[in-house]
Amino acid sequence: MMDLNIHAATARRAFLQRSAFSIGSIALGQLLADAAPPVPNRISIPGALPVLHKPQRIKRIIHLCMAGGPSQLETFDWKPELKKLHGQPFPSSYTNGQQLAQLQNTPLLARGPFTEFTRHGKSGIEISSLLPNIARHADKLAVIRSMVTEQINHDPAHAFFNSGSILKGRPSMGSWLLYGLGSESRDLPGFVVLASQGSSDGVQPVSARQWSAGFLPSRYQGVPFQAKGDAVHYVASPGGNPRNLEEKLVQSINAINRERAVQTLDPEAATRIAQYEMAFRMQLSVPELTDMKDEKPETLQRYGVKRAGDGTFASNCLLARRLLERGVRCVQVYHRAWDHHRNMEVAMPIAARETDAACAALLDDLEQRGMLDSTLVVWGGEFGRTPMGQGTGRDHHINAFSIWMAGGGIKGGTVYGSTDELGYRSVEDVVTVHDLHATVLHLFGIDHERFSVKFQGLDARLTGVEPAKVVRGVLA
Amino acid sequence: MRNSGLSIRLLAACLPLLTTITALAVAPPTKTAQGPVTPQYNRDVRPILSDTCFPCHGPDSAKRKAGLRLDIRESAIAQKAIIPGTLSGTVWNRITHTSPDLLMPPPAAHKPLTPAQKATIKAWLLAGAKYEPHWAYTPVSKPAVPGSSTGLSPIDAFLNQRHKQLGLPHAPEADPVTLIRRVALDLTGLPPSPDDIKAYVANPTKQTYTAYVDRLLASDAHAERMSVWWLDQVRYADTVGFHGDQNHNAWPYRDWVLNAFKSNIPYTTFVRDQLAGDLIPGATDASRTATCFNRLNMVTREGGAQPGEYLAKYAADRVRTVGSAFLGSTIACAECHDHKYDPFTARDFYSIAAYFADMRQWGVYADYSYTPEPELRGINNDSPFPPEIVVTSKALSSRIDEELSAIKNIATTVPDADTRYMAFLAKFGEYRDLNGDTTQLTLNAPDGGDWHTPAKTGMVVDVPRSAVMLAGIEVTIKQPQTPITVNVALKQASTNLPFWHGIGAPHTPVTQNGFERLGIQSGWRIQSKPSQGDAKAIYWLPRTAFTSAGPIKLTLTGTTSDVRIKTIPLHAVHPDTLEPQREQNAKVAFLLSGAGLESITADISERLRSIVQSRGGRTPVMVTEATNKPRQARILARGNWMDTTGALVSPGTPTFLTNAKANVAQPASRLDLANWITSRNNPLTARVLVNRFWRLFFGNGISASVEDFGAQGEAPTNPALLDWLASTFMDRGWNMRSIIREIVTSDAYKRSSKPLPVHVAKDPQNRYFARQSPRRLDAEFIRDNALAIAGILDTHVGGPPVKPFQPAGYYANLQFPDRDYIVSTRGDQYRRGLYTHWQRTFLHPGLAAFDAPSREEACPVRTEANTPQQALTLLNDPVYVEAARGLANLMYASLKPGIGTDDARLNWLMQRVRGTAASSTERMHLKTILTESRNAYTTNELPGRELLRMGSLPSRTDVDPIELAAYTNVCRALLNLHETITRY
Repeated sequence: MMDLNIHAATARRAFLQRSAFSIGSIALGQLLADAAPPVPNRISIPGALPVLHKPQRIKRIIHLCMAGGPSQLETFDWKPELKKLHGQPFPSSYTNGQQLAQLQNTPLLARGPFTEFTRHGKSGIEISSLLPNIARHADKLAVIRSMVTEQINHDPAHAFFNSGSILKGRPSMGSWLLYGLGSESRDLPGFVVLASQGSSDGVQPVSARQWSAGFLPSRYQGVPFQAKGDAVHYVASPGGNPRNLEEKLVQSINAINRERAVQTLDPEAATRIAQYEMAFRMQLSVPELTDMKDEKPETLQRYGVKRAGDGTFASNCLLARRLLERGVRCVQVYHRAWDHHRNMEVAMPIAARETDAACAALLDDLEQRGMLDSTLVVWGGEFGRTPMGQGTGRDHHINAFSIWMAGGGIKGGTVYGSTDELGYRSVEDVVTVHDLHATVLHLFGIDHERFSVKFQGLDARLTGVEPAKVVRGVLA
Repeated sequence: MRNSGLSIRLLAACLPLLTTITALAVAPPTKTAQGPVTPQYNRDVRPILSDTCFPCHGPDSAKRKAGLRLDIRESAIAQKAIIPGTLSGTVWNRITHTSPDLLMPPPAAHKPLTPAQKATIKAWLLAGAKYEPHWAYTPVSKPAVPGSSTGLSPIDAFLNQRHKQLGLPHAPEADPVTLIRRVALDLTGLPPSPDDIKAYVANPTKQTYTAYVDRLLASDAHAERMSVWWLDQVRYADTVGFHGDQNHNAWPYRDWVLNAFKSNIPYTTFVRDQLAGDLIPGATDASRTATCFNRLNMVTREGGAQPGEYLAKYAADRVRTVGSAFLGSTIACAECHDHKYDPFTARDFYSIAAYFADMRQWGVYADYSYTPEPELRGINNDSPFPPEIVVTSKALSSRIDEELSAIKNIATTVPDADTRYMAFLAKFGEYRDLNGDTTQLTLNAPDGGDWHTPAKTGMVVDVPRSAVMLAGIEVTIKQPQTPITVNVALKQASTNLPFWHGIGAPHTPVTQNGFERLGIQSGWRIQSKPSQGDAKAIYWLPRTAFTSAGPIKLTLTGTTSDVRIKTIPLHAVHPDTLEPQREQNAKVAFLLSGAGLESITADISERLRSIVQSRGGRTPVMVTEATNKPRQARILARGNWMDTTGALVSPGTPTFLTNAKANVAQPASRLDLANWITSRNNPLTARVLVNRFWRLFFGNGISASVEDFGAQGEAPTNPALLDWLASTFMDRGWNMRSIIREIVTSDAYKRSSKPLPVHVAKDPQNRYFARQSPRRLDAEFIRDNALAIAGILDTHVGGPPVKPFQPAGYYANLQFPDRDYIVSTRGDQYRRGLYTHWQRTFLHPGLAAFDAPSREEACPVRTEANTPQQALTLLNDPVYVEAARGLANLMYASLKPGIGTDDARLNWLMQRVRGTAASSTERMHLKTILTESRNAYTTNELPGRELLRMGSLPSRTDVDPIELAAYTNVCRALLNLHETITRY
């Protein structure tokens, strides 16, 4: 049996060797600590980082993804000059030689913002009338107006935003975090994805690769929760078998596996036993999680939930809060209705209505529960939209877009970076997607340059090979 | 990668284990039985230099610091970085420097050298700092087999020599059941049959084993198993992957791969046809189908995508795939800059890309106003991805034959067929022919004769009354003015008579998510003038209708040309041709029509539909089509597609692989690329392949980095063995099956996978193969194995992808077009996992749970994870519940209900699942499930009944449902065992 133990230890070592941390940097004590019997209730499943590189400011992250690419010009980047230029030819000095999507080969006209902007909070951040509830939290937000990305189409832009690469098979940020930091929940996956489709124009597909673990083991991948049927695939017992019967079944499977593990000295058999235990706990905890009967009607109303569990963004935000409360490391909530090539004056207010109250309620709830200090909330899309009009809408834009962050380690009431007077290009304190990733890792206590895994001969990082910087200006 | 990150903690939770960890692996060069050894450059030194020095002092000229290059000995010596035999060079000075400012690697690189690494470098410098050319880039040698006349196979001779050096004793041969199960699962992805096990256990000799291996190698199942592996290498999928992730027609390529393995074509041909099957002299439909390989990259149809950008993506994808699939190289790294570790240059990258510049392709597969593609006018989200050709499919034509004979069989074996036929004759005697021969009727349609001229709003006419028994309606349009879309509907009294199929000629097809929509019910489109003048269609009714129930009115809209209506009486079984094939035997014709046979018409209809869906045995497939105007290929600085300043390049192979020049003066075409890859002089191709085969059967490669044979990869632990296999493979005409046979008939392959204590101490990773390694089955084979054990696996080979059950709403996040997931029916529910519809953006959750890759990118190695989702899948995915019920059914078929004890039944089941009977403690645990289930279902029968109703597999009716459900739970447990999904 000792043999088996060592066998397992060396198998673990094999994977760690591929990462930036050799066995030498993991104290034997750490391995032995792993071998201690599990503490009842919530224990964390350890990650690959034996020690963090720096102080940890946050324990969890929620990404509110406005998928499709919301217009910064109608939300967080007020451009009066653009409004003045409305309907006029857009100066070609801005656009020559630049990438365009659906505006390729068409005349370019300026399109002024159709929304009003007012200053909010003590900080006086300008936020558009579309997002009155988020605006209430202005003093908690750090708005970055100078985001840029490299990908002008939805699918690769999401991939870039999630994994820092457009190459397939790269882990998403949630997977990196789970891999490095481990999970604080024994009963739920550490990385959960909730996707909803908005009811207006502007719906775009989102692929499962956006929460892929890539070359990391698949247990680090995001687990999508479904709005229909079982929240997690195959979580319900077949035929409505009673709980205690299924428990006996799993116990018998594990008992036989245990006996065979000793005979075969196969460490995977031992791992398998633990996975069945976790699976069984998930079967108990997922229904408890998704049954939102205990939420007050007042709460549902604040989030804008008509029927709890209906799969809308609002309901998903509430579910996300419950996930965060239960120790889930990373939650992504997608709202797929922000691709406003046309009809934006109708569609965008609908998309805003479907999300604004829920985002704000989530901030309220996290704060009220004392969790906001240790949670990072990120709001934004995969890119922005052009200051040039596309008929009744706007095209994709990669040179400038806005996101905001709030929560642990974030300096509230901040506006960081700026765009030129027409909102075409980020000009001051430009923030790349890799910079954003470096900042998120920093808040989790991780140096992005030292967090790597050997993949096909390279030290692969979330932040890629080119230099990336922590955005200090948004940090408290 | 076997990753047991959690194992220690988990073991502690489940086993009373000691917590002392003693020695870890003893790996060369530190010590062997013979004492310290001089470090070897390739094995010991290069990995250190490559990882820590070459990024700044290696092949990448752009990133080279201080002009110092350490990967070439002459440069290192010239710059006094290395002074052989001494420690006076700057390398040793800098890596041992006490000042952080001068220390190498710089602390900021976070790559500190360990004392052991420094010791290795020191010993190597002192011993003369000998470099070796990188093992994978040197010509493949043919090493002499050590110790001839020992009677060992060459593989064993090479391995044993190394084991002796390392002091590694061999694990004993695995027990016969383990071995026979191992080789069956390894070679076919399916378990051995109980008879196979019995035969081998009775006579476990070398001869029996080899004969069994040969039988497996010749089977369809082996071709399926090998295809699963190859399809990963080439990123085969049934959808395009980007954005709307629409279907594309690639499955005939998958069948080509199946056939290639089945007929064991030489690897040279295999590679050549895939890259350039359109360019070879005497190209055939089959060789063109193979070129679908070049079309398997992800493509887009997204509005607003920039064609130039996507063409650059497609080109880079092809280079990566060529590098990964054939050369085991990470050429991908040279897209933006010269490779950091290997001598691939950015020019090499774009020169390989240039081979594919002749392909007819588009950056965006649609014609948008902002990115016009006039050639693609009319293409929408439901269209296929051109260019395609139409080829015959063996799978489809044999399906037609099979359905036809099944229909005939069903119809003619109906118990009261004669009675029914006589009743028919009595009622519809007018169909007798003039000779009065009741068995040879001529079923001519009564002529409806009259021409009608429809109004602009359409027309309503009575279907000619003389047809007393109606199978279909024939509609002829006289010289239609095109384009038109004709709609036809039938009504009897106030009831609609829906058609189940219609065929029009000519007919302009409509496509739906990549496939031609079958039939013309929802609109018969004629866009071009029929050459013959008239257009004709036949609309089939779902079941033969009796006009005696009243007149039938026909409504037709869409044309003002003259129209003639005829009726078609009893039809034969080939409704996919315009002229109905009349069955000459009237009784058979009657039975085939399903007339009046309510109980069997559903089955017949289903089979008729299957025939229609088999499209006359023909199918479109995406292929490579060369244009005579190749696109310009240029080096893209930093991979930026908008940068047009880079130098133009022509097709060319990597310059440093000079030994690999093919016999062509000027490499220029894809065919030349193929010939270069499979040239005897190419040092990579054969090595990469045999190493991957080795991994399939040992769980790890001779070089563990099967995906990377470059400087950052792992040197082979037995280079002579690797080279012997590679050269033998080429000597034998690149015969893949012969090398696989060589591997699985070796003594090494047959050893037990249970490590001896000395193995754990000295070779925990099993890098030297003194034993076997346990391996979890691949995703597809976990499913296949369960279905085979349950006796419900459908073994049809090839054909269109199938859609087994998957959770509702799984495709909700897919648009352009929106799509439903229509679950396959009948046997297609239980096909091998290989045939599952491969949706790149949302791979079937049952496959994804067990690490099947999405195949968005070539995948040389699957990750192997061990997750709770896997447990949930095996416990609750309906296919495994059905398999459990199938297994219980099978048990009752063998041990009759009411006879025999629970012990006997549990033994039978365990025997079926893993080949050996249950131990007494195993029976005890399984009996707990039986008892608990019986108790639960006696209290409340409902859950048990629901359990038996899941899926579509019938339950035995001669067994007490409580018992059947209880045993189904036992079978669920058995299919969930780690042992069941692992081959030991």
